[in-house]
Amino acid sequence: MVKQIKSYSISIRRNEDSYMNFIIEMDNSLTVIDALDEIRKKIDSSITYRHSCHHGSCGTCACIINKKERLACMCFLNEFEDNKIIIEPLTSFKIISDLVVDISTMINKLEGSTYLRESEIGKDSIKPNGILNWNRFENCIECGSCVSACPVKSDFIGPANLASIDREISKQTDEKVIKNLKNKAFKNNGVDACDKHYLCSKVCPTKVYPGKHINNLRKIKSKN
Amino acid sequence: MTHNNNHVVIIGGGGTAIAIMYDLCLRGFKVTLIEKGELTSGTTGRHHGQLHCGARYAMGDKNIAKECMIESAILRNIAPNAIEYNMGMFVALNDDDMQYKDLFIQSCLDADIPAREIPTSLAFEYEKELNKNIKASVLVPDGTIDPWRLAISFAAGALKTKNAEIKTYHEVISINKKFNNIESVTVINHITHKKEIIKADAFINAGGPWSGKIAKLADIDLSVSPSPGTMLAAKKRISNMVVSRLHKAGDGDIIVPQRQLTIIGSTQWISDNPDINRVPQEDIDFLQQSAIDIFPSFKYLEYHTAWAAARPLFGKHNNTEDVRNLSRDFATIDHKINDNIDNMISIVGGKATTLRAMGEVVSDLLCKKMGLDIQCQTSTIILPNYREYYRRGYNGQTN
Repeated sequence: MVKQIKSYSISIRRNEDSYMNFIIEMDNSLTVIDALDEIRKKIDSSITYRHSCHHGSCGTCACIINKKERLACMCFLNEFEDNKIIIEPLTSFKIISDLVVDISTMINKLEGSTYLRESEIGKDSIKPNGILNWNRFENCIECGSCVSACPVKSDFIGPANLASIDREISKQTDEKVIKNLKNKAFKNNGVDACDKHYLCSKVCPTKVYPGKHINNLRKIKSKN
Repeated sequence: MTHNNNHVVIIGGGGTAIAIMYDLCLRGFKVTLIEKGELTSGTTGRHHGQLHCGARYAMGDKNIAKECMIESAILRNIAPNAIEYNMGMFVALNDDDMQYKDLFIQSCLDADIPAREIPTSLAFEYEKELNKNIKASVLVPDGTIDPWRLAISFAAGALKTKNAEIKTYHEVISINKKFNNIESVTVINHITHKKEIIKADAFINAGGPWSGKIAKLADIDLSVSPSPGTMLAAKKRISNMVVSRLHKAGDGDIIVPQRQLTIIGSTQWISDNPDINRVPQEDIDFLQQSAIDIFPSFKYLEYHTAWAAARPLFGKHNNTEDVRNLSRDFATIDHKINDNIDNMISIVGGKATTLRAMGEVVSDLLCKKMGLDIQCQTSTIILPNYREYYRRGYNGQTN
């Protein structure tokens, strides 16, 4: 890829449904989050957006970029051939300011006794003293993209929540806890409320594929 | 929660600022943290994520190495959900590296770091992709941090005391003095676009590489050199452990695996500006080659991204060659001493691994200045799960 400085037209949804357009010159190997930083630094210090890691692992910068849920930090400018980018906040969440949404409604419902899991690779390999399992963080970075993309409008606990239930069932050994988790998944607003659009899996930036977990829960349900 | 009727304003929202907030809240202070963006949106979040046991610093600075060992063990205990603990390995690739091996192990042991050499055959059992020509391997208790989740675990701990108020998207635009005291700060709330004046008994500048700019608002000349570095991530996880090159600390010698990624860091240069908007291609090429030296199959991994972040180095530095040798220690500055301002402290420098210790040192200094004898409690209390940060109110909202 050849690095080039190009002019980009960036339209940001501000409060009260208005959009503000910015023209900036940027290195095309940089990302949408870099562009937001540049605008905030050089043109308008009042734009608000969430960001932290800049490498797709914290999950804070998810927003809707040219009509699709994306992590702004993993969206490279060189992919926008017409150099036009429209950035909007995630849907399904309350907007706090500009691109900042309140994802606590999703986070508060997530299951998970621990954010760690055992690696699927090297389970039987030798490990150093003091290490029982090769540890991994959960793949889900809790960005809210799947919840925003889900078109279901009826009462539905949502793809992130269901994925977290399926993950937690696989980690738990306590039958009582597992039964409780299944009860949550099998209520009317659980797996049955999913209309199988699978947009959740399409937008997931870290290959959690919530649709796969929802199908997994459906299988468990049909066996029960 | 008890409180001692003192209100402290902390400027900055990175790991250090958050850890200071948490420590002071546990000691009963009312704390308002002011951050112009999201928490950890400056340097902390962009950290490559190595939980340093101190081995990297053992040959250079024994005290820092010791402190890292103590602090990494504390963090593993108090923030288990924010750390992938798989240990770390230092590998010698050539005869030059081998010259350091005995000194490296002895330096680690002198700093209470339980480093031990393992047969290279065992190293390949742990790390299948490792360069088959390595000459020696040493195990150390390193790990991987999720910097965002570690920091917000501390923020959750602070909010739990009900003594904390977190004002993200609030930018300090002036620091208002009266005689030898800071009386208040004026902030602009980027959500409402309104100005607010926030009074407090004491003010702490914990703005990382931005702390020089913040100090300037109080007419204080604080020497901080933003020192950016580039990091590169590939799309597949190549190792279980953090793998470092066994030699004198240099560029591109640390490989930090995290979730499904492999991150290699980092480079280092000096900038006038803490806001970094470039990622030098030569850095990316250099980092890729350095990773291939340790893991040959890194060559076949798909590019994920590369980014840069500015470290806050204390003092004025112009020469990139010099800064790698600089201590990674932190400095606390009581502005009464040189600047004749009674109630302001700045903290500059440090590392993600030592955030809790930085919180303790600043809080101790503040207590001493205020004549209060209140002990630090942060090393033993298990932090709430990071998700509590969302439940307890964030983004300028408070419950």
